[in-house]
Amino acid sequence: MTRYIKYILFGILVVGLLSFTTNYFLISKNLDIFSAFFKEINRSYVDETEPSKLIRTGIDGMLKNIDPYTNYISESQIESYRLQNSEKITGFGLHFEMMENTPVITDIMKDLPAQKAGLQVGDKIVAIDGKSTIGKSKDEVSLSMRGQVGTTAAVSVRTIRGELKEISIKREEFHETNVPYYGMLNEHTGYINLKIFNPDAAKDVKNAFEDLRAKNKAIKSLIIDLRDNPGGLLVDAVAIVNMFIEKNKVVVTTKGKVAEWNNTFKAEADPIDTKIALAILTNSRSASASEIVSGALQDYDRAIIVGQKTYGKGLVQVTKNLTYNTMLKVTTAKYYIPSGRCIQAIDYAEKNADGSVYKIPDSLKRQFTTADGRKVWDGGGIDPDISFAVPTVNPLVKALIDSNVIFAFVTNYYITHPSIDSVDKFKLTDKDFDDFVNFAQSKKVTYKTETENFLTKFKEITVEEKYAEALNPVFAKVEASLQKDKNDYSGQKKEIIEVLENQICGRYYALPGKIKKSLYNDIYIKKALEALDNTVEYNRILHK
Amino acid sequence: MFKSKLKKLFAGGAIAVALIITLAFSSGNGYFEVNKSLDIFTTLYKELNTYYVDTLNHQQLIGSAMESIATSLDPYTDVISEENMADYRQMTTGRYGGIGSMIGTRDGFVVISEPYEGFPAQRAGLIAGDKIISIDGKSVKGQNSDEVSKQLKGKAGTQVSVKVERLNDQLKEEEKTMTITREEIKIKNVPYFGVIENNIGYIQLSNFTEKAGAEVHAAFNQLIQKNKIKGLVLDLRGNPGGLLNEAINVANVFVPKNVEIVTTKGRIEDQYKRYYTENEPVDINMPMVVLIDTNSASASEIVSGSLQDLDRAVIVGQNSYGKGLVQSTLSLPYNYKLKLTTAKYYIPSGRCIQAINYADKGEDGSLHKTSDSLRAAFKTRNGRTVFDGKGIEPDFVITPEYMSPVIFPLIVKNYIFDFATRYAATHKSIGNPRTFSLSDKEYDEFVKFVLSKNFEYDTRSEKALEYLKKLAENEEQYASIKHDLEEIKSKLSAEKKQDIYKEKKDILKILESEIVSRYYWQNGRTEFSFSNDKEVKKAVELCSNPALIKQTLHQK
Repeated sequence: MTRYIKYILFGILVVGLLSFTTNYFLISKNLDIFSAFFKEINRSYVDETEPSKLIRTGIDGMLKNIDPYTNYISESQIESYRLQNSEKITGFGLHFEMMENTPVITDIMKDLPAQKAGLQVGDKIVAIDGKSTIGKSKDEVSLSMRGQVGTTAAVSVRTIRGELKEISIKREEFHETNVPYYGMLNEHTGYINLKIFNPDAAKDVKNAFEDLRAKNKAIKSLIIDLRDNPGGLLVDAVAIVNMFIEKNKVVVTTKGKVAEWNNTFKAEADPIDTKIALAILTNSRSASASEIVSGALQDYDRAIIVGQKTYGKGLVQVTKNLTYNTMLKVTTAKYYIPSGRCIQAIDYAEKNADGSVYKIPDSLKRQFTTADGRKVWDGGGIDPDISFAVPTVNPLVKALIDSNVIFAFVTNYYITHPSIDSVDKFKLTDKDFDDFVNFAQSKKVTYKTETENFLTKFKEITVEEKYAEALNPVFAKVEASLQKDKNDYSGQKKEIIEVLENQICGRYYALPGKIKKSLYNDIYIKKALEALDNTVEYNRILHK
Repeated sequence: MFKSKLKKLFAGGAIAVALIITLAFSSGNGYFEVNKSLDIFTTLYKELNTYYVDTLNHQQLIGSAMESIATSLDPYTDVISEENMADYRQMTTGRYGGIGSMIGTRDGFVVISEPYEGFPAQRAGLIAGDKIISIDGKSVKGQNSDEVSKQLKGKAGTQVSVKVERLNDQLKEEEKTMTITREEIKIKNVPYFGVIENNIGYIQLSNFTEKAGAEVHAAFNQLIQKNKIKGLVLDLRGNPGGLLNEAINVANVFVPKNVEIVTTKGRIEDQYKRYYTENEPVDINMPMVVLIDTNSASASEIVSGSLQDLDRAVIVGQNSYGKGLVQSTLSLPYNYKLKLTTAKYYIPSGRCIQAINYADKGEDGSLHKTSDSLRAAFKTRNGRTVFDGKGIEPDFVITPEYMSPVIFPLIVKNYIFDFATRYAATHKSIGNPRTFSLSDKEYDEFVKFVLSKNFEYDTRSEKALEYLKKLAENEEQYASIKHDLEEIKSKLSAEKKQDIYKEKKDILKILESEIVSRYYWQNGRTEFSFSNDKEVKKAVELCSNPALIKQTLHQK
């Protein structure tokens, strides 16, 4: 036995050394070439060079060829890197947008400094620590909000009622909220919105689910909303799956170049509920950890997936420190869900002849089977069991949102209405809508639709191809029709009212109110409820 | 044991590197920044290779790092790896051993598409349209033009036997076999020179490889002595440039000895060089016009720009490309080469004509041309005002005309080519290339020939219409413009049907030029073009009017 182990060790050692020496030669050869190149450029180029900028370009160019998740993080990027990678941030606990060169609060997080200081959505932050914020970039303003935990910032605020207030805010450390809302959609269906997999994501989901179960004895189905969830911590994804499947089942396996680094993640705890009917909502921006949750539950035939095909990110990264306070985030493994499939959509090791990334074609996707024998495929995200066409946002509505006209109208509404009905009962009147149209028209929202922009290009092409003379009269008609469409408020009444109602509920009942209101007109929810309420259909989909 | 050896190796490496850098950066303050950057890169590279999920290709990694740095600087800076060196050499010297003909693919066969006058293929009697059946007895059926080209090429002096099929005067295919002696093919810098009309000479200069200056010199001499020309048109249209010294030599043909033509300046001192004419000119007074277009670049811009700045020639055509950067080729380890922009050049008025400032990118990395308000004014020798930052601006601008979308498919689908082949098979000669024209009846035959082939082609307008429809659908605007878009569609299709008749004049010129080339090759094409080339016409008009030239150039 010992001999056997020695033999194996020796084998590994020899193989390791051999590959190390050839690899070592190749690494040093290529670094040699690169060093000579880099020095020559910085010495002889016609213009003055910036070595740190050039090296960044070189590294980015090199890494871009590998995959989009292997990244170089320079000293100046570390702060924003932390933000995007489930690390804690320090600040006021609010979101803001620059509107007319001024930061305006768009969301206030629960129990954090901004809320404690009595700030409201719509308030303008005009100065921080005596320095004006007006005309600054969004990044600059964010930076001045951040700082050491426990330090205090003097903040000048122009409130939505126009008063100027000087307040002091003590900075705290916090995460983006994992579960901004949960509740019942009807007597027997619970809903949990999971926005991100930050630390405690599993605990937050567990608490939400247990609270729903405790308060609603009739609960018999649950919807977990993973739309727009970019992923995050793998262990939390595993723990969430664990709530619904039996102990000791494998949830996910990671495999890389070096076998010793491979890892298997199992359901280690006792489940909470292996019976409740489950629907997971996904869209094309549900990625990574979201795909582990939806994919593992699909592979165990434990949940129906409702919505759109997920993003398709099946690669795991770790962060390594480099010299001079820089970092490398590097893809070290692929993950595989229980049926054995990897859901990575793009094979970065392969390239098309023109160098573009290679999307795995349907014909090369491999088939796998779920626990109950359903067919599933690798190479391209999680396919929903129920999918449908998602309505696009009308350009007028988009322009009203983007130009903050909706936001400004909602602020006015909030000032002039001390309270509103509960979220489920609240409705805008026809008069409210007319007020909005008058308000919007007085703001003279100008915008160009993509159709309009392209029409200009189309006209140029017809000039070049000598068809313009024959077509110009028709173009004039098209332009007139497009112009008329652009101001067709009554045609978009339903959509505009929905957006307004969601936003207004958000002002009175914060983010949970906004999310709750939006669910009433949500096609994903409608489809999920239909399937959950139809036991025969639900079982048919899952081959039960 | 192994480890300690490694350590020594590293230590030795570090000393060597340190020495080189100390030498290189003894004067600058970039030492620390460069070293720091390289240190980060080295660590990152090693970590990446250790931890990445798959095994990575080193050459590709370093290649893309270098390439992205090079392209971020400007489009001319480039790294060339060992294996790409052979191509690069051929590109820069313009030589290969072969038969001297262009070839193309037609219906599964490779055909001779344009033999070069005076080269082996043409001398052996190969003509455009010949279908290559076999080479040295081996069938080449089904091979692509790269494969065929490889077999036609070989050492100079060796022979190759080519069996072809050719249309006879009954339009029946006949087999012919020809033996050709391969030669080193050197394309001339001056492919054509001659007289246009009224004693106006014409020299076409299509490249600046070695001897460009000598070729122009000889051509000009001959035109003066044999043809007694009174004015000269130098055609630099489409000339992408080449060797800087040859640009000086070409300019020297027209300006006196010891005149400064160009100065190069870089960041390091050895790039500061002033270039003067070194020889006696041929003629410094003869009325002269230089033709340029948007593809006239680099050395072409030195010639046209210096002749403009010295008020020696009138420039006609379109704004030139605007490349005012000079590259040097430097050696890197392991046979890599670095082509690096090391200097800008300045023509006699002191201006640099570089159009795009690559150091100044938009936030999204976009490049933009120098805006007119930022362009500095300079004076020519006679005090005319000229500007930097936008290539050479012609004294007389000729606006190019748009080409109808019907023309391109007629060319690429070989209808022009095939009709010309049939014409050449059935007509023994065509008379003077300068005055050749097809009759209306012959054009009708051509139209019939094309329409019999179920001629179909795409237009960008139709594609744009489809795209517009999709956008409108996405933006919920399709319903209100549906009717209008359908009207556009039917109008476009009606217009398209008329194209081949409407564009008769332009199509005829291309067809006639192709036919002329079957009897008089490339020079025939050039001579044929004289009668309908707007830029040449303007040049002739100017050369025939020395007073106007003098006036334009502010000559006393």
